[in-house]
Amino acid sequence: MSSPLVVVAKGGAEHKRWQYVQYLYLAAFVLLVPVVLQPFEIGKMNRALVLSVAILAVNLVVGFNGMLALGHSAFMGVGAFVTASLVQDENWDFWMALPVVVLVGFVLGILVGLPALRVKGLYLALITIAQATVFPTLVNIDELGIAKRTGGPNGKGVSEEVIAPSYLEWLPGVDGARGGSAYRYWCIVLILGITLLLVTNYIRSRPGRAVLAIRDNEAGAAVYGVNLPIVKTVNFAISAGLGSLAGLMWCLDKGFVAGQDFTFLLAVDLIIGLVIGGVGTLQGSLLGGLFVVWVNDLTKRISIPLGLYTLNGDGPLAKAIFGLILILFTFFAPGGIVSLARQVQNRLIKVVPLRPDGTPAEDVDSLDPGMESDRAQSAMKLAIVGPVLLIIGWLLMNVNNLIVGCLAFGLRFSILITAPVAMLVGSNELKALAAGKRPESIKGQAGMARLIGGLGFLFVLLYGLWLFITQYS
Amino acid sequence: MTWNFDILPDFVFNGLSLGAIYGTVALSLVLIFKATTLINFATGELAMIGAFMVYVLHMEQGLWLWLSILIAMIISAGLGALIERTLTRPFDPADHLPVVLITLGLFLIFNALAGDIWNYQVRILSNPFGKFPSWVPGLGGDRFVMVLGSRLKYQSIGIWLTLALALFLLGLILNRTKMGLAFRAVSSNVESARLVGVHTGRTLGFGWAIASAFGTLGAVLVAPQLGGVNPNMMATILIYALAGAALGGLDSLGGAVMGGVLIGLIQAVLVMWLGVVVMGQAYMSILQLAAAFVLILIVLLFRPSGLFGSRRVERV
Repeated sequence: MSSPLVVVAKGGAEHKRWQYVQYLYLAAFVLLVPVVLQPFEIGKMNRALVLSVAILAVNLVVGFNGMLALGHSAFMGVGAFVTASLVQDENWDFWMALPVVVLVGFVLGILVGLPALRVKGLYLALITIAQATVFPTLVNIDELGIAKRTGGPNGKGVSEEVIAPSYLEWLPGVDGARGGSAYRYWCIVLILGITLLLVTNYIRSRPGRAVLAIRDNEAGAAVYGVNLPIVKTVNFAISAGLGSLAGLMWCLDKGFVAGQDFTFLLAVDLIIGLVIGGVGTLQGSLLGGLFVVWVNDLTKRISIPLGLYTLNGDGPLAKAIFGLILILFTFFAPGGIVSLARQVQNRLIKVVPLRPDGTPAEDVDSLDPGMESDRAQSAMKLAIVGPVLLIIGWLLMNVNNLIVGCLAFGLRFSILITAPVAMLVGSNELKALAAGKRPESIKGQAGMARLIGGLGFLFVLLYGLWLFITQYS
Repeated sequence: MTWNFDILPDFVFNGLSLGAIYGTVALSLVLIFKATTLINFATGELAMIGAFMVYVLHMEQGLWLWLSILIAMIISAGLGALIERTLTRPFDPADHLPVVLITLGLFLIFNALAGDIWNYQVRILSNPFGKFPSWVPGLGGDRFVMVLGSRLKYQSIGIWLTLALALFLLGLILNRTKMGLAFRAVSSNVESARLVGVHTGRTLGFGWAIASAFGTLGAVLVAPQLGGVNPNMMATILIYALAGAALGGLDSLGGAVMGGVLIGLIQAVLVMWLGVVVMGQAYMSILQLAAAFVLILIVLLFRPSGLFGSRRVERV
């Protein structure tokens, strides 16, 4: 089965349907997290989303501009400490501090970026590494009022609690036992959503295209009139401002900041998240944050039963596994999870991009295998596999083993993909049959695929809805 | 302000010996950069593993210290060549990101492995230059000699002599052997070297091997200053070495040593003596690392290729 099950033109009715499914899943994920997860798990999700914003910031420089920046932990730290100081010492509101924090990061980014971007290649990496290593020591200086502001080696707590105002208590999860972390979750989701929107637009704007042009061919971009130093420096400064914003979110989430939180190892975590999520993609930054936090958590949990050395529950094994995963991804999947997911999607649903005049870049009909197609059969198998995996996953859930638990978790979620794809392929094959492009014999299989796939998808939707309604109140 | 000139030589000696260590590690970075235009961010952790090998061989197995150092240097050279062959050779050196990621991954793995095996406690490693040997007339058994009214430690002298000897041997290898000639050819132009029949891969492996051996030597020399060996021992040393390499120019071997020594001097004389002793600002001691950082920024702002580096001209 080398050809994809469905070929759709970008923006066509079928492609839109597939996109609706994706948006629906995204919305369901966002809505279900605060009502289904336990408070400490919401806390982890918050941390993951904060890291996602930081990874997005690194992505702006590394992924979209092709320069190596390894020091964004320092920008995060600056953002976090400025926030803590403004909120704790000056009694500011978090939302009032936000523009100031972003501006401080931006200016700092210009200061570091100006000399760093004049030179090429690895020098920026070198400077940013130094920056990441230096930052935690700067926090402890007890002259110039720095230590008073930062709390020095003890760190600084923010006593102001982040509580939902009364007019926001209808937000899912906010009014119940998990109120605090759920409200922080919604604040973080709001900032993340706006940031994603702004970054998407920035990348598609004229300066954003200049940034991409520099990555793809620096000399060529210069010849076309791109002002290299200005575009690079401003891009780096925007990235630093975003990193600083992530620092504010860190402070908002944890309510406590300390110099030891923003070491070079955090910067390495960001790079790992970036690479494993997918360099140069926006979805990759989100996935990277989730990956770093949850895998870190998993490896910590298997360190203890394996009898490995741990310090405050934080064993070195997590770092070793991260290093190994980083090397494996660099070798075998340099595009990260996003590119792996795209490969899988292309085997199921191939989306043909459009030419500027609106016609598909490839002839969609010519990719149709015609009468000898076995797509209906594959779709039917897919439709049946989904529920079977779901049941196996459900049975395996009772096995008390971390690895099996992860496997069961994955199996149960496979129906999210298989059901709508089977439904889509089934209806597509029936349409082809009506147009006379398929033999009559596939009718049963295609119908079955559409029916079982549709039922599976309906089940997924109803289950999600049921979860939400029962947990919401 | 009190200009305490009488204790200045102390700081100069200290700076010169620290600088020699930074120079050794910077040399390890530059040897790899020259050949491949890559910075090996795992340099420090490889060197740390080397120092732990010396710890195991000397402190646990009771081997003669210098023999342990030699064995550790040979093993880490092999490890360096192995890393080059298996992990970095498959990638295009013009694309920096993958190899930087590989070396970052190695950084994490080595650090964590050492942490798993030896924990994060500082373990004492005996000093190769603790006391003057008995054959030195009048000084045998002493830890220092008085020069200009200050104590010049045997440790400092030993570090300088070791670095000088290592540099001499490196010069001999690079200028008098066929492999050294091949290394110089590859680092000046990979394509031309390949065309005239130099086995570039093997030569790069050779560069990684020497670089790793130098790193191990640096780590062993620095261990007594840190009180012993531990998995995080090289973290700040690597930053100073990077600063030294950037200061001297990333593609100049002599520049790396000079840059490292300069960084050591700046750290000891400018920050510790002028800042802490003369100006009486105790917080300056925290700024040692920051001073190195600011120095890199300033040097790159005015001389992007470092003090001794060669400017690269790019064809479009």
